[in-house]
Amino acid sequence: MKNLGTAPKKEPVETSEPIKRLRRSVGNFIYQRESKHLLYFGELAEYHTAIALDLAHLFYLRLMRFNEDPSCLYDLETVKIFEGAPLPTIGEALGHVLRQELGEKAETAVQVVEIYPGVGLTLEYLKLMLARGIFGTKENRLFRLSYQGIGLESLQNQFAVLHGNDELSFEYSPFAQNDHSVPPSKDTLRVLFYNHENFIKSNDSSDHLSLEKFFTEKTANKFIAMRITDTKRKIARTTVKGKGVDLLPLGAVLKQCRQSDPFWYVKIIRKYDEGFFLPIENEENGTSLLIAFSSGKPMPLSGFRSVADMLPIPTI
Amino acid sequence: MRFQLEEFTPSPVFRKEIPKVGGAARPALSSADLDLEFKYSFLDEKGEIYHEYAISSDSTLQTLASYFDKLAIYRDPALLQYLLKYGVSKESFDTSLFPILRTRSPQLDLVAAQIIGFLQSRKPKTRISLLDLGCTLAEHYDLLDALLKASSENKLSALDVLSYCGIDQSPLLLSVARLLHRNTDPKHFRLVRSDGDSFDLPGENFDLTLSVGVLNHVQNPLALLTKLISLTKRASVLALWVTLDSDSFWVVNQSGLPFYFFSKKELREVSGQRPEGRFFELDFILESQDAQRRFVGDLPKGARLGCYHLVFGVDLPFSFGKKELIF
Repeated sequence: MKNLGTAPKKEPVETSEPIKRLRRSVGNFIYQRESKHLLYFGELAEYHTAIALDLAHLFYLRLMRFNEDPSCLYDLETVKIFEGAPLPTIGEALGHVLRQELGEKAETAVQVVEIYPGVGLTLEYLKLMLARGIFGTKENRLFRLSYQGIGLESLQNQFAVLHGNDELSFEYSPFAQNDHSVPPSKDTLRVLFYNHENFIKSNDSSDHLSLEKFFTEKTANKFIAMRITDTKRKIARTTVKGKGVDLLPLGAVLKQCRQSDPFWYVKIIRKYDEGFFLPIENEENGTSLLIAFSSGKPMPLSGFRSVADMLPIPTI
Repeated sequence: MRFQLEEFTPSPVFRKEIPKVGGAARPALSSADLDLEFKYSFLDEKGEIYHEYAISSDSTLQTLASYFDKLAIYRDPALLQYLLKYGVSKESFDTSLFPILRTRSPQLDLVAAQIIGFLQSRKPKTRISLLDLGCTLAEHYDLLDALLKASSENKLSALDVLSYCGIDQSPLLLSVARLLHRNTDPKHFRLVRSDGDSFDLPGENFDLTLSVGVLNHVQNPLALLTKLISLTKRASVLALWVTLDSDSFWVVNQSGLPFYFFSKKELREVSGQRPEGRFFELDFILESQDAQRRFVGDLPKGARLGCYHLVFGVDLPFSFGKKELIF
């Protein structure tokens, strides 16, 4: 048996914590039907667990862009997963901000910068919105859009294969060694999206961009998709991949939001994918997904709540 | 609470004996008897389930991820640079820089590239027609592209040399294959959906045919192998699971699907239908030596099983340095 080590923790929240020893198997389990008699076990490679669903989702969006009905090509359960995923909410909010910001500024250059882009689902969604004329027709578009993903060097080639020779220009920049700062903005309006959800799901244990640094970034338009704990205090959790992460409670995140911009809007997907974390015995184990954006000015969006109106700080 | 995790390979606790059956009979254990679960499973110190996290059990998604991973490596500019520097050969494929090159599928692509090179040198202005049976994402096309570029110092590519036809049963995988090859000329890059041997390509045959493992898990493997060989003009590159014993038989594979072991007698029969051709044995990997366990339940006791890497060649002036398969 290979020892995977103890999940790393950056800042111990508690001292003298008990250690729970578990044996982990990841793979294809085949049972005699309606029994627990295991007939076969096959280990799954990392790429199976890491990107299978995201890849499938990406091609689902791409087929839609090319005016094909992808739903008949996918398992119904899979389609339900796509429909319940946070991406449409993120895309809707992103589209809302871009339209609001740029509706009166034709010919403006906009760059969407995504930290931890994964396989590029946000980029793919942007391409779908462009194709559907959300930002005007090809001839009469409101702005020039470009995209930059900042992520792991090991995923750069995969990203290029998925998005090269396609309809929206992109850059993929690996995290610089020992440099956790966000590259300076070009002479364009920049929308900064910290995909903390992808960070949580990745195998990367380095914190290339801290939440504190993200919230203090000068960019007016900031987006974040992040896991939060339903407890009232920060809590250390371990993902099924064995990665240790600290989850903040909603109140702590809202506090940082308010300190950085008076105009933050949030939506909470409760109980989202809670099983991705190992449960802690005798503890409240609820987690949710928070999707939020700042706009520097009032920009209400249906389904999102204004942080300014969320006083006192709520608990979930 | 902190977690200390150890990787653990569970052993099947109950194995149903699969009766040995000959000919085209189906396995006694069928996919209808099985539940497949893709998941993370965590057991505590007492061996009880502490937590489970399900991954999509749609095996097509796992196939998509697996073959996309290959395709992305085949398109990696670093791979092309490596091949340009070290050449396209058995030796250059034996590298830790790109471990995938040591695996079955690229090894067979290397042979296919050798045949393409030979045919192309004879008729430089004529495209080589290639049938890829069980093409998934058409990733063979991408490695052949890299091999053609590397062996011609970037003067040739699959776009110029090949007329490709990929066949697969999955509409999803074919759709994705099309999306990933949008730069190709539709006249010379075709994708056809078909279950098993039901495809119909009237009046066509192919300079080169290629099938890696697919023939073993279709409805009628022998009929499909026969059809594939009949469509082959010059060479067929194959990975086939075969029993060295007298009778063919079915088992159930890791996807819960029926899987057929050909007998050598059947290969002889197929070869007999094209007397001008010969099977060459490139390799034979005993199932017991293969790191990957592919089958549900026990294989027949004492069975001599393995995977042949074969070329069926018609009027080829070389034998790949390998022996002709003797039946």
